[in-house]
Amino acid sequence: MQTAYLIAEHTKDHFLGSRFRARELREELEVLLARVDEIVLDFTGLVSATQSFIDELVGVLILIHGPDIVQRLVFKGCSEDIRAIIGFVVSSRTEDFKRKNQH
Amino acid sequence: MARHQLPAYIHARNLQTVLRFSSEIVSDKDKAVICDAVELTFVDPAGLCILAATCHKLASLGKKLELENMPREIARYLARMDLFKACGIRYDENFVRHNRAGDLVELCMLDKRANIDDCAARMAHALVGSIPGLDPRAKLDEMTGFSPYNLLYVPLVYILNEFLENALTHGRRGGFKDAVAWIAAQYYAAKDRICLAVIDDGCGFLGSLRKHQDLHDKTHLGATRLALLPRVTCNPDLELRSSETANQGIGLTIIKEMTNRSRGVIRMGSGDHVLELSGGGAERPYRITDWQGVILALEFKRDLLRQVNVHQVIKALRDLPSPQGLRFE
Repeated sequence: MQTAYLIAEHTKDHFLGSRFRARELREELEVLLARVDEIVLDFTGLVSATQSFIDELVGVLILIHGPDIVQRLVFKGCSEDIRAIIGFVVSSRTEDFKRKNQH
Repeated sequence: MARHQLPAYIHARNLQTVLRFSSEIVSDKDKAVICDAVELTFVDPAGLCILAATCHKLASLGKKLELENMPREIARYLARMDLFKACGIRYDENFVRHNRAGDLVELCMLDKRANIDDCAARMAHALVGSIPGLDPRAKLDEMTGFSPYNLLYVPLVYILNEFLENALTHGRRGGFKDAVAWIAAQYYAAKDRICLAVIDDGCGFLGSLRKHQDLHDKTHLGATRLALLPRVTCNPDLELRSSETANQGIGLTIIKEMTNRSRGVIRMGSGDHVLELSGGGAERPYRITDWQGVILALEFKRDLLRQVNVHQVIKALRDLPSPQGLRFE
């Protein structure tokens, strides 16, 4: 089962900023991930984000659940900034997870 | 009763003098700390933040700043920027306060992480709104997908968010849980220059990174330099407590790169040193009178900052292969 999660509905601005706000969203995603197979993270309407926000939203999911969690996420409506940051965060947190679990 | 002389220029280019003055008045034994402001000529965002933080420190010691002989024009400006309110100084405003949220950015103190997004957005909107000719509803640029307004808004709100995040997370380690941040910004039309500052009274770079395995030079300057390197974080073990957010140690690296690309200047003060980095990579460290916390002051040409794209900076910093299996729609 797949469900959509519209990020813009959970933010006031069209920019995604703090880890604090991202953590609130991630906690909602965790609840959804327990119920559905796949989530479409819809970034439509958002111009950009900090690396911190995307790391707290997606990177921490990788640290907690492992890199395979990304296979249950679809990224929709990403601006070029958000797309680049997601790529950066997923690469580096996947490396972090592997490094941590080698020791 | 001692009488102090307020420096003529209270700004980021004059941090040695400004911080010496701040330290001098904090160590004054009297309850009323009297300063003669007759020479005061110019205060920039970093100066506003340092004055406010110094008054906060005085208040915590049961003391209060009193300013005398301040030139009327600069007093009006400081009142409008809410400095007197932040400092607990009584000032009878003999002018009408119009709502100028679109073209004036008042000094702001932040003590809750929940308010970072709103504060950064309000500051960035006000700053961009103060620049003539930028319409938030203008058509998007076909090359970038951004409106001219967002070309400037995005790097500014990015920087403000990351600076405030640093102040209220890393700054609150090592026994500084009540650290707060001051933030101010200004656009100077005559020079097409944007100045902004975020200053906190937290543990400082050394306090945050003291136990880091890569901190070989255990000085304030060494810790400041380390904080700029990618993926240097104060919680490198990747263990997340449920009450904490994570930290990837890349925020300041990105801002350094953005400043470099816009040929701006970043001044990072903590403890007994400031590290000044100019666009093009020039580095100038210099001593200051100790500051407990972190001072971050940036200045750039508006026209160059709007040419900085976050995705280009991120791609330049990426040293890992592209992730497999990512699905974009």
